[in-house]
Amino acid sequence: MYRGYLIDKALIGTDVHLKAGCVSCHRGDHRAATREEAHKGLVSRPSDNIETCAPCHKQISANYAKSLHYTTIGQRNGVIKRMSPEEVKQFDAKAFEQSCRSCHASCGGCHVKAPPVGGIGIGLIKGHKFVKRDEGKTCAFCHGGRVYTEYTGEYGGRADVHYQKGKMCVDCHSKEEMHGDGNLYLSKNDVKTRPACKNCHELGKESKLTARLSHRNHRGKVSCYGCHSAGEYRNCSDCHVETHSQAKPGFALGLSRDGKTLTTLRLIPTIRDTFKAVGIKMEQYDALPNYWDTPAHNIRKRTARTRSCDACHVEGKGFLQKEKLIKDGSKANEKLIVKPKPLSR
Amino acid sequence: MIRKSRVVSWSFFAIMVILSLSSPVAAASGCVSCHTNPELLKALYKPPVIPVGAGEG
Ligand code: HEC
Ligand code: HEC
Ligand code: HEC
Ligand code: HEC
Ligand code: HEC
Ligand code: HEC
Ligand code: HEC
Ligand code: HEC
Repeated sequence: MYRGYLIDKALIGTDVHLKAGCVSCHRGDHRAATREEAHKGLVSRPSDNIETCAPCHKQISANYAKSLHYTTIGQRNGVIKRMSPEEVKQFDAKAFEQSCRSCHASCGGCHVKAPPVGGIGIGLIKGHKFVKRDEGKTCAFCHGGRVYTEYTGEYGGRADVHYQKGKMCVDCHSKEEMHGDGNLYLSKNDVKTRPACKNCHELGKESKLTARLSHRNHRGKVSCYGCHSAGEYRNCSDCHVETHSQAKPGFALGLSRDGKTLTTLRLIPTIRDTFKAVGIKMEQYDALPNYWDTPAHNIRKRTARTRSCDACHVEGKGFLQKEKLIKDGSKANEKLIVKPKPLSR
Repeated sequence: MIRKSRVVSWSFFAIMVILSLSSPVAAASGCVSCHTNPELLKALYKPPVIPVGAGEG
């Protein structure tokens, strides 16, 4: 949309960010007579260079340089465990910058301009205002293949109860998490400021007996998602470096990476020939499974599993099964399969 | 008063559009004059080509 390039006149002269003139951030030549000349040397994504914002937002910028959104090192660490040391070198040279890093967020991706997805963008938020948050125009674009549409129910599933109560991403995901806390984490699982259900829900005081008993009996055995995920969520499959992946709905219960807790699992997009085009076979492909823990963003108080103990203890509904595993998948997949004991009555 | 300035700005837009469609834009006043002009931007905007495949995330 052309509006993505249109600046709200009222901001010029009032917004502190625009005081020093466009060229202070975007370069180019403001005295030029033609579009081509004016755009010579133009930087269309100035905040990709954190130094653009650092003079006035020192701490945030220093932290952000080490955050997962900027380094995208979480994606790298998610795949290199499947590779030999030689392959990791090749991956870093041929795939990391080109493929993973191309999705990293600049400051402006969350504060100024809706990031383009697959080459399409709607451009500037509110005529080039520097907004604190606007999840529907920022997070939604990069996390729209899965989390956002799952959360709002837009892809056809049931919307998350928190969405219905008016909560958006930043109500749970703090700026400390988004900007980073100055530590260089290797995976989102290490991030100390990530949210947890227990931060807001103290269990043990539920009015309903079944709720109290369910919570007490399953502490450390079943994750909150295990019972409260409404049902199908988004899964990605068949990722290739050239074509990227496809998202489809699915649901699976199995063991979490801790090897103890039953939780919702998601088929991840990496398959055996994901990096074939760049000559990486993934010699240790079977070191990691194809299904990973997923904090499904489709929470409901009542689900098929909160209504019936038998859904898990007898029927094993939605549980990962040997026959249903993806074809030519990782040998580690079978270790995720569990079957709870029938309840003695 | 209001009316007069509207006439002035509409003819300004028209000139901008005509200029932009014919030869290189001949505006003198830099980034702001173009980027606050909806008619002009509409004329210059080229929709992107839509690729296939959804992302992860
Ligand atoms: C010249 C100094 C300066 C630079 C450079 C600068 N900022 Fe700011 N920024 C400020 C000041 C001052 C405020 C507080 C303004 C206010 O409260 O009205 C602010 C506030 C903000 C806010 C909060 C807006 C709100 O509604 O409270 C965001 C977001 C922001 N800046 C992002 C950025 C980003 C991204 C960059 C780099 C592209 C950047 N800033 C560069 C000075 C600057
Ligand atoms: C420009 C694209 C982009 C935007 C915009 C974006 N993200 Fe992300 N996000 C990513 C990528 C890529 C990763 C994976 C980083 C990695 O390698 O670990 C990620 C990871 C995350 C993670 C897990 C890692 C962590 O830091 O805890 C959370 C949570 C998250 N994003 C939430 C959000 C929210 C909330 C918003 C909006 C405020 C948002 N993201 C905006 C691309 C984006
Ligand atoms: C992944 C999304 C994301 C990215 C990237 C991001 N921010 Fe933020 N930023 C947030 C969120 C979320 C908040 C808090 C909004 C709120 O509380 O309403 C925030 C708040 C701010 C504020 C307001 C000050 C405050 O303390 O509340 C400033 C200034 C700011 N960011 C600057 C930056 C700068 C500079 C960068 C790059 C170095 C950056 N942000 C990158 C998500 C992001
Ligand atoms: C404080 C730095 C700063 C200043 C000054 C500034 N911009 Fe920006 N501009 C940004 C950021 C940040 C983005 C979003 C891209 C990114 O993430 O870096 C952006 C994006 C844009 C875009 C969208 C580019 C695209 O490819 O989608 C346009 C157009 C734009 N700015 C025009 C202007 C104009 C015209 C001025 C002067 C009135 C101006 N900007 C002044 C920081 C700035
Ligand atoms: C009710 C609170 C809540 C809301 C609202 C919320 N999240 Fe989350 N989110 C969580 C929790 C809890 C986790 C799991 C953290 C962990 O244990 O790693 C999580 C994890 C994530 C992750 C990383 C895990 C993954 O699957 O890759 C991303 C990305 C993410 N959220 C994005 C978003 C986006 C985008 C929105 C807005 C559409 C959003 N979240 C809204 C609570 C929330
Ligand atoms: C930032 C705080 C916050 C976080 C984090 C959070 N919730 Fe909530 N949750 C709320 C609020 C507020 C409500 C609405 C309560 C109300 O309206 O009574 C709610 C509602 C619910 C409800 C519906 C309760 C009812 O009585 O209808 C369930 C179930 C729930 N949350 C489960 C979870 C789970 C599971 C997680 C982790 C994935 C989680 N919540 C994370 C704040 C949070
Ligand atoms: C073994 C299944 C199970 C697990 C695991 C589970 N819950 Fe529940 N939860 C229930 C049932 C059953 C109810 C009652 C639903 C009803 O009222 O119909 C409930 C109700 C709730 C409610 C609403 C309480 C109220 O007073 O109405 C919240 C909030 C909640 N759970 C949060 C959580 C959180 C947070 C976790 C993870 C720490 C969790 N649950 C794990 C089964 C479970
Ligand atoms: C989401 C699936 C699920 C649901 C729904 C569920 N359970 Fe469980 N339950 C498990 C798993 C997994 C375990 C731990 C493994 C095992 O003991 O077989 C467990 C363990 C238990 C235990 C402890 C057994 C032991 O030896 O320590 C009891 C008691 C129990 N469940 C009762 C119930 C009751 C009563 C309900 C219905 C109110 C219920 N469960 C609903 C999955 C579930």
